Amino acid sequence: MTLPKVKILINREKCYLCGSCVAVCPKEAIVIESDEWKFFQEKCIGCKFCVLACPVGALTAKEVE
Amino acid sequence: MELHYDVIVVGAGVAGPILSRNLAKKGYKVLMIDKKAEIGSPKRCGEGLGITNFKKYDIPLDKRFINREVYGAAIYSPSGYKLEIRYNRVAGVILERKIFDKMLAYYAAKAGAEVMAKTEAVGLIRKEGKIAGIKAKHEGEPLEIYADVIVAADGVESRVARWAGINSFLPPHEMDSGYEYEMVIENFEFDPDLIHLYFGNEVAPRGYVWIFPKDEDRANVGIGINGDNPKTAKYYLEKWLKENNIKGTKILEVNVGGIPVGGFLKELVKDNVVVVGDAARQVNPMHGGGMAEAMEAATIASKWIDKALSEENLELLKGYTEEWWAGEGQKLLRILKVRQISEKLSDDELDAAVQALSGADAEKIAAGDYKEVFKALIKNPKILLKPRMLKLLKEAL
Ligand SMILES: Cc1cc2nc3c(=O)[nH]c(=O)nc-3n(C[C@H](O)[C@H](O)[C@H](O)COP(=O)(O)OP(=O)(O)OC[C@H]3O[C@@H](n4cnc5c(N)ncnc54)[C@H](O)[C@@H]3O)c2cc1C
Ligand code: SF4
Ligand code: SF4
Repeated sequence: MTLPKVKILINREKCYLCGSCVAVCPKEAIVIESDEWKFFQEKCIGCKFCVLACPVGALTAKEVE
Repeated sequence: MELHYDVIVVGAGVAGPILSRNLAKKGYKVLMIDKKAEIGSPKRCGEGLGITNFKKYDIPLDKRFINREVYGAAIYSPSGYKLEIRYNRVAGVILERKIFDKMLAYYAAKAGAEVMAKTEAVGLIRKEGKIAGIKAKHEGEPLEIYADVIVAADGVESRVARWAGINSFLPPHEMDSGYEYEMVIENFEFDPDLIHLYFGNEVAPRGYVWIFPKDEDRANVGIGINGDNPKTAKYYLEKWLKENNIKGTKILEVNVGGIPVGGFLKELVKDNVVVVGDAARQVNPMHGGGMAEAMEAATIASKWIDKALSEENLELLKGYTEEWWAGEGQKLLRILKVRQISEKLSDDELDAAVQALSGADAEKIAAGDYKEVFKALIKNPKILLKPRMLKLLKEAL
């Protein structure tokens, strides 16, 4: 089963860099390095676990194509 | 710059410093790095720790990181039934973790470990197919840190284990999503000598709201909910505060974080990489506390790293996986089973359970003697009438 392709968008003002989204991402498509949240589209499988797990709702998934 | 050590430890939270201290004491050349500019800060924690852990893990009771001593806990059911467990001696403390973590790093340094703050691990060094160390950055300057043993003590967001090929992916249902204010509480009754835990499916799905007092009127007020909940932890905490007429106008700190609750890592060691603490998901799945668990894992891991290095046989590192899983792992699995039952209870059943437990042996309950809990529950007529509850309890016994 393939999930619809999504782009994960972040509201940087809301984000605490807590790393919960990094922990629940099965594909290491989210990385926090040098205090910066980064998303790697090519790795993302569209599961939206990151969106669910964020304690403050800083992430949204936007369908692409 | 190129550096060489016996052991490189990534992460100076709780697990990292205890492990570094133990190995430095044995005479090993240890380096502990943390990406934080100030070790301990920012912190993500309710800061509650049982008093027995200080002696058990040889940590001084230093006033500088103890905000308040507590004497027990009060547990509240959805309709407000209360179960109070109060000792006549100190049961735990509410720490100041920013100072605690830094002091733990200080103890490691005093024992002989080197410590480098503001140093972030960014990858592994591989030589001839083997993991040879950590690539790190300090203020943008690249460092190559070679070591015989690499310790992943890098918390819930751990990347080191994954780089080594250990699958530490944490499914959202095995994580609690946490949100907490350190705040001044006014016009709301709470005994500052106890910690307070509020349960209910509407209050905190799967988890609870906590008040951990740091002063008579100042406390960590936080929440943990199931990580796959479509609503946020923040939403539930704000809702609870509002329903209890607690004004959020004196907020001193906001904490946000994920808590692993289940999904303990099977593979704690791979080649020369050792995983401890939140990185290994070694957290009590019932209450979400992970400091004591991190200390225990660090203690076992440091023992086996010592053995492996002194006998020059890295295969011995696997002794840590075996020993942890045989003792602590089995204990946490049993606790997980109880959690999986308790999370299925309806609000009515939670009410009945708290009522029933008020009559049980509180000391035994507090000690985690769940048999005592079930004995009390099964005796209760209200619960006996509920076949579903009885079935769940029988499953657990
Ligand atoms: C809201 C909340 C409340 C909690 N309340 C309690 C409580 O009351 N009692 C309790 O016992 N537990 C509590 N916990 C759990 C507890 O905080 C953790 O279990 C504990 O901190 C785990 O210790 P650790 O050493 O494994 O990881 P951490 O303490 O998370 O330490 C990991 C360290 O690694 C560093 N790091 C990460 N990646 C890198 C990298 N690439 N390079 C360098 N450094 C890196 C981080 O900066 C961090 O300092 C709570 C957790 C949350 C989120
Ligand atoms: S889970 Fe949310 S707050 Fe935490 S790092 Fe990810 S986006 Fe930021
Ligand atoms: S949608 Fe899934 S794969 Fe994509 S970033 Fe989020 S957690 Fe990772």
